Amino acid sequence: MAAGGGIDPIHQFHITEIVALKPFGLNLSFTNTSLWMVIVLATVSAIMIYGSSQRAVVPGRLQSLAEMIYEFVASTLTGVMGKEGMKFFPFVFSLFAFVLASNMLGMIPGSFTVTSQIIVTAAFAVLVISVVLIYGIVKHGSHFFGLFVPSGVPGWLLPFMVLIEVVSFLSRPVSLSLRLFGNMLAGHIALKVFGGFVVALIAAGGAATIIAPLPLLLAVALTALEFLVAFLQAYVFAILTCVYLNDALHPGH
Amino acid sequence: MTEPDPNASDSELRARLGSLKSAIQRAEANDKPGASPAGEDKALAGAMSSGFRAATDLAGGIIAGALIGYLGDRWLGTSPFLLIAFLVIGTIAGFRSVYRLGSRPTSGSSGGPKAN
Repeated sequence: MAAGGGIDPIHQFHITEIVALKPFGLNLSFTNTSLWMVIVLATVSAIMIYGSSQRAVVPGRLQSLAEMIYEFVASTLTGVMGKEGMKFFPFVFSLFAFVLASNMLGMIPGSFTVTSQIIVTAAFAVLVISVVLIYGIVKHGSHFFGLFVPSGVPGWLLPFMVLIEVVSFLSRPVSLSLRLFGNMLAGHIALKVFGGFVVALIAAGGAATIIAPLPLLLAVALTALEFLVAFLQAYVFAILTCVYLNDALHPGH
Repeated sequence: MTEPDPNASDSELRARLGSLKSAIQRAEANDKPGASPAGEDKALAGAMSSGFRAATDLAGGIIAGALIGYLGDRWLGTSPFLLIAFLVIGTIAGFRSVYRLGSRPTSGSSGGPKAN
């Protein structure tokens, strides 16, 4: 077997510095992650700006794509929060579009998946929870903390339940960031590993070469699955953002 | 046919009224939280999102509990005890999240009111 054959499934996640910037001992270098975030941002902006600039009654390709994303996010949002949730539309739409675009661009071979870095997804999750906390407290004051007091619980159990509710609330950013990060990381590693099997089997020669197409077939199937997961994770991220924002909008249900 | 015809028959007007009523009902249903225009693919996406949620909510609770316990231990110098306590609490919180997810009606993508 091609032991030490140089197929390293983790290598695609390595962060390399493109422009080293280290002012005041802070590492603010422009890395490949930053580069791909800029590419994602440019892609989303291009689609939305070009798509909304034409305003044709019969939409072209890009315009209908932009309208489709808009309507999808809008219906998801109003489905969870109702019409008054539309004030969060720019926030949710930006998150959804960014996550979707970075997941999809990550499927291009040789590209870099921004959302496979836990620091990126964790930053998103912290942003979402901060918005929930700040909006909830500003809008509802101390009434917001009624979220942590479940109703219909006997008095002696209440402190314990409040503690559990608080931990449960704190676990939201963890699970939110972990879900996106884990799915993207695992999917890309699996693709790389199956691709590596093909190379290793062909390199082994003899009878092993005959079964080399088998992992190739699996890699093809996995690619299709990954596209589904790339979309679904963006959707899950958006809908969970809506669910959490709904708690800030109507606490104490 | 924008102006209603003055000498239109009763049944025509009634049909028009009925169609307008159903349009209003549809618009109102979209206004309410928890109501989602359930499409076929949207239902699948909703179901899969629930699955992803259940899987990671459990892990998220345990990890968040462990993190809180570990940081609390480092802060207060009570080495293993807070970690153990919060690990248990985090696990319970994770299970509670999954239980709450399961106890709420999941039609498509509805977040719905929390079933506490």
